[in-house]
Amino acid sequence: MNTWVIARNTFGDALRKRVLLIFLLLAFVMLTLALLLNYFTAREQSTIFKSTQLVIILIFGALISITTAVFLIPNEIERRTIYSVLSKPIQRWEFFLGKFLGGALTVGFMVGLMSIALMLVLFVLAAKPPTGATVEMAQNTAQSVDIKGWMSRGLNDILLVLRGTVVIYFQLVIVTAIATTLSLFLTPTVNFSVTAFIWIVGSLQWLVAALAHQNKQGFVLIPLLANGFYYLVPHFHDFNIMGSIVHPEVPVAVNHWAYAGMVSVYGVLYAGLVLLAGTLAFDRKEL
Amino acid sequence: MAFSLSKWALGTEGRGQFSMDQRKKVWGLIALVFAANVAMSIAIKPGHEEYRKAEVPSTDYKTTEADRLRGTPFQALLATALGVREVLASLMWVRADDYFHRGQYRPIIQMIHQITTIDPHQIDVYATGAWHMAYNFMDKRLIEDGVKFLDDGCRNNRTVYDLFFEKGYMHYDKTKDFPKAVEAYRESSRKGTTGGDTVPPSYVRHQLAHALEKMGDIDQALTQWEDNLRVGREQEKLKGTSFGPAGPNVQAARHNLYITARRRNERLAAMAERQKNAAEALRLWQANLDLANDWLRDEPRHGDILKDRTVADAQVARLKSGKIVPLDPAKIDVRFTVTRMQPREIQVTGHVDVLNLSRIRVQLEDEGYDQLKLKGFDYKMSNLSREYENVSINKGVFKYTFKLNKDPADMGRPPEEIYPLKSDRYTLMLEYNPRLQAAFIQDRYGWNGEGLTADQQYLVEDEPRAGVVEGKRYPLRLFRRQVTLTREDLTGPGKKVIFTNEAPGAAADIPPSPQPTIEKLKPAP
Repeated sequence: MNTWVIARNTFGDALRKRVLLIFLLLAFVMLTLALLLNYFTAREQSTIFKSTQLVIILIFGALISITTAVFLIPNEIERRTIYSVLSKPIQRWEFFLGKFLGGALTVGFMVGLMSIALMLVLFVLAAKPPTGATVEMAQNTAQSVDIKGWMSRGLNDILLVLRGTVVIYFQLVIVTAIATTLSLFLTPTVNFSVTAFIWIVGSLQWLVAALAHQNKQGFVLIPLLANGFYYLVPHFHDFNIMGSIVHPEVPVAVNHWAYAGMVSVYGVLYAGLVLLAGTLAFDRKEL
Repeated sequence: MAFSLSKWALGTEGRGQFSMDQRKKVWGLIALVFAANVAMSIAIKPGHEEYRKAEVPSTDYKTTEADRLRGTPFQALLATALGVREVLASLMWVRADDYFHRGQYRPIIQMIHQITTIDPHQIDVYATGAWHMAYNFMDKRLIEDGVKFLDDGCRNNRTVYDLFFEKGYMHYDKTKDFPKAVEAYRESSRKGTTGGDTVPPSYVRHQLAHALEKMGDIDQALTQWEDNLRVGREQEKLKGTSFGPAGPNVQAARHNLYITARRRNERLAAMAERQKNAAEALRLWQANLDLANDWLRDEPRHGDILKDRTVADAQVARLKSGKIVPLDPAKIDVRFTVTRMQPREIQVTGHVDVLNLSRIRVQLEDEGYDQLKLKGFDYKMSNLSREYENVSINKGVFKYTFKLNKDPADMGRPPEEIYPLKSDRYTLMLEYNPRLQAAFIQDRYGWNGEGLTADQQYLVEDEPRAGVVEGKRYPLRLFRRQVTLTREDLTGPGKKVIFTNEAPGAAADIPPSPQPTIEKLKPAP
């Protein structure tokens, strides 16, 4: 209960921060700019639009997530409000988890807003069937809006974006957890860089696997170290399902929603792992 | 002071809010969650592999990550690593489009190859890129590269019809290789759409039938039109009537089925009369009369069909009266003159007694071009030249000028870049192919040249490209004449007649042929 109260307050505080609103505004401007691509065919437009917008959501989401999380606890310490909070019957772990949840809610809210904007635009774009130049030329003679087709395409696009943004969100939950925990040891600027670095390294995990396989000399330690590193560092590359959203016609032998569910659970578990470690560290932190 | 792991992990009693016991429990929980995490990672891995396989097409997909790392192009490494393949490809495509609109065509070829390497599922990049190569650059050497680019696209996007259709159209319209067009259209007609429809638009099936007819296989063309009609009617029940060529298009299928059957009967009847087989000719004209009557039962006022019935009626009456009109095969005899107007400007003029608005292909290329081009793309582009045109024949005469001293697309390229003219010997070919003629001309010469002949040394009978009509094979018969020219002939100074087989002065007053080929322009991407 205490955790939830702190989370709600943190969320409210975060929404009042101008920097987040600026990020959000920038993201919306970029969403709108993408609409200027209407000189492409409907299918090209859809491909370009979906891919750029999902990356915008991911990058701005990550910026919002890190910027929010790195200040969550240091600000409380700097303003000395933490003392009055902890002097009440609130456990440190409750405070710590509440702060994280507040950050995660903020990220969720921002990503949600951007996703809704993307869904709305895609729904409007779905009025035109996703065809290439040949079909567009062929259909020039018979243009009428097929409402049933539009609704079906629009709904499909919304579900695709929903799947994409759910997976992006749980990726950002890990980022928020890491930044919140690191904020116990690092200054916000250093924390920002370190978290961003971990995010990039986590996205390059497939390279680690590749390098482990490159071990032609047969060093025993290399695969051990590589595997250790592989399981310790978060697998952000597993969250990369953009291809299946941008090119839904490409067959993938995977149940997309089941996979999205699994990586989301992984995201929650990894964030949990980081937060448990953070709880221990925060418990002993000199304030 | 010695470091103690347990002290570091568990701390000392009294510091922090957790008791030692609670701290132990949290560590236990951490171990548990870590184990769950590893288990989840292992469970996710096969799915992740499937996504990665789908990103890179199965033909290029390597079994290990290490192999994939080696196979990933440098320019795609960062994008691939960070999982933004698609967005990088999309942004590069926007850039390529910008080049196109500014008239800067040169960087486009390299760029489209890079884009499709990064994201091999960019269907429109394949389609438009191939179109640039085969059409917009107006460099005949690049047509086969456009087709090759589409081949790659088809391999990487096997589940949708689009690129197979584009490849079919390129063979149909550009290379005139109708068997390959049929193969690609057939493949395309079996695929679904990117929008999730399991049946491609009707024009895919219609183009397949047209290509079968162009290939000379009239039996298969008719079967295909019947199939198109059936599928169209099924689609109409599901989707309703639509007049667009992408809709069910039942009327077009029905009309084409009728017209192909009518033409088959007419052309076979002409052959039967040539062989003085009046009974067979009568059977065929009677079949046409029945075809027209069948249609008129549903639409008694259809103007074209009424005219067809009148014609068929008259032919039946004539044949019944015992009067046959056997038309001898038309002899194709091309008399022509090749003149160098100035260095790198070669004019070909000639006379040929064929139906008005026929087309004759005039082609100039390095001797042994097809063998030499196997040395590779760079060799081809630096050393070989190829230009051709399907020139319209107007009142028995034709005229075409190879302007090897100009960039054919006015893109500011030096002419030597398009026509290097580095070989010593060149082949000038003139070819009259009945399969490339309009329907009213084929009515006289047949689909496969059944109604034409030529001097033995210039008449090519092509059995592998034989057509099939009512179960019988008809080898393709075409006129082809080749003349060898030297580089000096093409690049030497001043005006000079290089070759002629015409009477003196015959070439003097030939007007230019009407602009023969209208390049099909694709709208800007």
